Amino acid sequence: MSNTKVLVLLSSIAYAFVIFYYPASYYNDDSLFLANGILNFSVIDFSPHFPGYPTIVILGKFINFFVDDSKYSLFILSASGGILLPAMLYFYVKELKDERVASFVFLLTISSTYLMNISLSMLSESVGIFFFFLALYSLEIKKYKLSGIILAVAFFARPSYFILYVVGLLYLMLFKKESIKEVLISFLLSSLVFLAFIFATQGMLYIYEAKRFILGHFKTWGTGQNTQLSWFSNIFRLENLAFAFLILVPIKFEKNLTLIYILFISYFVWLLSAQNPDNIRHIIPLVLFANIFLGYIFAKHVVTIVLIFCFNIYIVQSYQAKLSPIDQIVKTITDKETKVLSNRSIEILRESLDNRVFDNYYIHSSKYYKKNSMTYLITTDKPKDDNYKEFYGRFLGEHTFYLIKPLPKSK
Amino acid sequence: MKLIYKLTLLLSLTFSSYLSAYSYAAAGKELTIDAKELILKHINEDNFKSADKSFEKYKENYKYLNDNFIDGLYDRLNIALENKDKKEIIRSLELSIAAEILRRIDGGHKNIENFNVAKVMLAKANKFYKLLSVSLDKDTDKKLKSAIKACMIAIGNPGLFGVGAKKADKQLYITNEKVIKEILQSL
Repeated sequence: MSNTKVLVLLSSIAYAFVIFYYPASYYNDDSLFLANGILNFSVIDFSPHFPGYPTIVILGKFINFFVDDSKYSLFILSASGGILLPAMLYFYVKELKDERVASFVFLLTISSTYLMNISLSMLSESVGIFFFFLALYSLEIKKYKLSGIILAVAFFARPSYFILYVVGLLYLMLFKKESIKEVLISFLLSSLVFLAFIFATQGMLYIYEAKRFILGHFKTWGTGQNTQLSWFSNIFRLENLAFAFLILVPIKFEKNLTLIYILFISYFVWLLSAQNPDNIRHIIPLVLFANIFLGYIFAKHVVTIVLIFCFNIYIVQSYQAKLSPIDQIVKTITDKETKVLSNRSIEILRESLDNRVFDNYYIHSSKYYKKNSMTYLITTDKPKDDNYKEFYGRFLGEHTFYLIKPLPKSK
Repeated sequence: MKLIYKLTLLLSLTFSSYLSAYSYAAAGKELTIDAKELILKHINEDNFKSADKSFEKYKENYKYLNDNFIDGLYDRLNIALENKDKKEIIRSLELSIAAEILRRIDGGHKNIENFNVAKVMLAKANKFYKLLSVSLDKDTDKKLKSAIKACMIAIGNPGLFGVGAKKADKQLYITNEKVIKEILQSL
């Protein structure tokens, strides 16, 4: 085994220890819904919500067969995606270029604060993007049928990376004609298996829920709360300092990275036009592509790579929390009576605090309850007065939550 | 061009979370929820005149709920508004949510042989229950929650290609529907 492979293996094991040192803690309601889906797959019951994430459900069920704890099964699955992702990138870049650049990309990725995000958040990103790179790797070693199958697995883990599939397949049609037939046929046939699973388990209710969910997004709940964040503020932040070197990409253009350039640009446009800046984790595919570019740019500058690695570690260690903010809040609320108003993680709160929880989405009802009874208020907007407690996230992208304590009501 | 636009819109909505932080707990666009929110908006501002107007706007919906599910709901809300009795207004509005639960539970009963329809009805009943639960005492909430869950089990399950299929249990449904009615009509 080469030195770089030993480095990859040992670092991945060390990273796994770091990740599994954290307890399984839901990032938001979506992670709870995914864990519920492992036990009882029912899209109409938000278990999980549309589009259903069948890859996560199937793999989660498999793990749960041994673990018998759907929350921890989901944690194992999503954490494993994050743990294996840097090594996956290593093998992919090694095929594209060489071991040296591959190990640089590995170091940039394993130290990234964004990797902590997808490793701990118990959502579909880590699994989706791991399989996506596995499919790219299979394509690179000319296992076209396998690549198509894995691409379908990736797609049904994380359908919101849709644009990567469209652009990727278009690229194959234009520049890798020898592969497109095998990739496309195996992708479509494998997709049929997933669709069969969805319709066999959900029936036509899947279509009903698809319509309701999409219209709900558009007409009802999507209009209620707007984030103060923008992609500008998400991109131009200290944690992304190293990506300023991407300005060198046009100078150091590499022909064998054409697919990655195209994926980067198309996903970037998709991100700006169709992704919610409230969730910085949507930027993660770009971060991984960017790490590949940086590995190439600094192929002969090991010192720069080490400096970026150290900077990344500095960022990662600046987050001290072990539980998600909502789980910290659940632990903090010890009284058994006071009502809790929140527009975040409502279902997690309901599971822990029973029927004291009211959805702050219904602002006028909430206002009435707030005025007329003792209530806690949970928000991600910093309160103006000082009657609150702060709960920090575990990684970049996990919002700080504020718990506004109840004030005694004057009679 | 129009087709491309529509396709792009559909894909954006299906495969993204563009619309910012939202509550999945929202039951959806429902008259009774909209009416409750609107009336409470005016009540919070002590604007009873506008609250009356909002009630007027939705009175057909309240009459329907009154005539079919909770007798006295309409008059109770109407009188509470006339008397500017805030506590009674909120109680009546919560009762209207209870009527919506009964409506969906009744719909589930009528369609118990049609799994898809019954399932949708019960999913909606459950979402309305979640809005009501905060105003119930712990014991009542527990009983109501478990009765709705029992109804969900009672509609059966078509199984995977028929494997693991479970027939609807009408008697179990009726028993729990009765419990739900007793709880909600006594609020």
